[in-house]
Amino acid sequence: MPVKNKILIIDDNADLRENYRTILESHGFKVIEAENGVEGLQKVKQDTPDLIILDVMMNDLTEGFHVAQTLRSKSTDSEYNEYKNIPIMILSSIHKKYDFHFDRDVGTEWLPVDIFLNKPLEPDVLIKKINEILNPEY
Amino acid sequence: MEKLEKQFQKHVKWLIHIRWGWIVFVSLAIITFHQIFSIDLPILQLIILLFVLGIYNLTFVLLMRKLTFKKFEKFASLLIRSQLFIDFLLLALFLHYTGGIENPIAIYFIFHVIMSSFLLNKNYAYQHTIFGVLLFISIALLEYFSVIPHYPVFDYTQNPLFTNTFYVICVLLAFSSALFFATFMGTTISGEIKRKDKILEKANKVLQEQDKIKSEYVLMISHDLHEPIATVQNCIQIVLDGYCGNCDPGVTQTLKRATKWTDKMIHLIRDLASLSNLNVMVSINLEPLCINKTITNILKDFDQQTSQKSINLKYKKSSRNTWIAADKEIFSHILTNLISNAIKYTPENGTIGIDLSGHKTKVLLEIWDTGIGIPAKYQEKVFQDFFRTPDAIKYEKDGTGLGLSIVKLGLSLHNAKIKIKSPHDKLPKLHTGTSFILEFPAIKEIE
Repeated sequence: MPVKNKILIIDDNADLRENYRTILESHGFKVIEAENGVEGLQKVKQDTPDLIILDVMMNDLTEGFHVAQTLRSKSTDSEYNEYKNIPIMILSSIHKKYDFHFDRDVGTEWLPVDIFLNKPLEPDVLIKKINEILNPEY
Repeated sequence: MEKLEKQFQKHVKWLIHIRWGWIVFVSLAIITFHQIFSIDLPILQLIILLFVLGIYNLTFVLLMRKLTFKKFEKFASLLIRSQLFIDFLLLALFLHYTGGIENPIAIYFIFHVIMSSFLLNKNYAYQHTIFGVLLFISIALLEYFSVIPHYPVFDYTQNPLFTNTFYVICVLLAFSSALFFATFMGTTISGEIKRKDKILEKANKVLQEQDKIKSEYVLMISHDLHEPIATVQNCIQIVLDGYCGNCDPGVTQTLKRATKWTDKMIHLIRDLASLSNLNVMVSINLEPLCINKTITNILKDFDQQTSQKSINLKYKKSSRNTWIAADKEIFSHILTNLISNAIKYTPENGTIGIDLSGHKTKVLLEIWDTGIGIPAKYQEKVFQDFFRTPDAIKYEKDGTGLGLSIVKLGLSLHNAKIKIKSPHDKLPKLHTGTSFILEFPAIKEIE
């Protein structure tokens, strides 16, 4: 099976990362893992993934959120400027967007991600959503 | 601010009602004494006074309708005080034209000072009493020294009471002391009430704080519980979907049973998290939202569920303004919960209707169904956490009993109201059905 795209999974739950790997690899994706935001940002620079699957509540409550903010920073001198177009999929235990009440002050652009999904996500739905993001004509 | 406004409006309305009552009372008294007891009264002056009182009262009625509290917030206390002073002045004039010191209607001065003791602070209440005493003394003395005319009502004898020095002194002393005593009693009681009010308010605040802490705790716990159960669910799903090779049919069946329970637990944890989260929120970011469009989008998510049960989902849009101030996510959650419930408790081939209607000051959203209905005795209770009606439990075993609590809490953050009608008038008598009517304050249409 040809390698379709590189997907970076940033989640502190090793078992879930393993599950995603099983699902994604069987659909031909290449999987890179990171267990926290800091490692995730390093892997972004190192591997330039095509899509990032991001958890919100890791060791630090808002870590996933800050990864998204760092990557999508509007500042022109951001060291992540060349990565700001990488699609980000939030896959979180937090049920509703308004559960992020701790970061409400940021305003309308408080969650700069492409799609927000809840855990647990059925494997079929996960693949469908990834394909929709990576190939809009899919 | 809101409390002050309500209190102010209540007080002004109260004074307006008392004045209307007073006008009726005095008119009846004049007719009775003049017509039945043939007592000679200065009718013209009394009618002018009643007329002035009526116009003055009407001014306040109109003022309360036209002006918003914000406009006269700064002089709200002054407005109440001046009303009480003008009322006192008019009462004194009534007294003067109906026998002065001889008229027992002077007792009404006492009611007046009691009223001011409750409406004003202690200093202002005493000022008001001093003003009343001075008014009464002035009338009595001016009539005594014939500076102003006396209008005899009760006494036609050679030695009228208003010129009887001993009587005048006694009445003035008794009257003044009674007024000050009434003020003392009134301010003491009202001070005690205000003190207890403050204690209650403080206790209420502490309870609210504690409730918030409890909700934050439940929120944290529910997040912590969600991650492990979601992982378990994900593991089972991977096996069921064949990512780990083919399974024995017995294993598949057992795993399906397991997911039924993990599903149930995930729903419960999610509802608990949402409920606690809404509880923790003091205010939300309300933004203009045209719900006509939002509803259309939400309804798309229900296509599969309604077609599975062959339910006819009808949406009646409104041609008028349906803009409200809302948090889109919370609004969607509210509507999703109500439609999910309607689908859950409506038998196959039933109908669910969403009727939206825009009005001048409000937007009404009605979600009705041809389902099992909610008996009248449970219509209040269904908004309590974890409550499910016996019929609902019998009809649909699964359910957290938190859906409508979330709806109610979400609506309260939007200053919106909810009403239940079951059975409702959209159905023939044979059906039961439930109708939830949501009322949101309307905002100006945005192009």
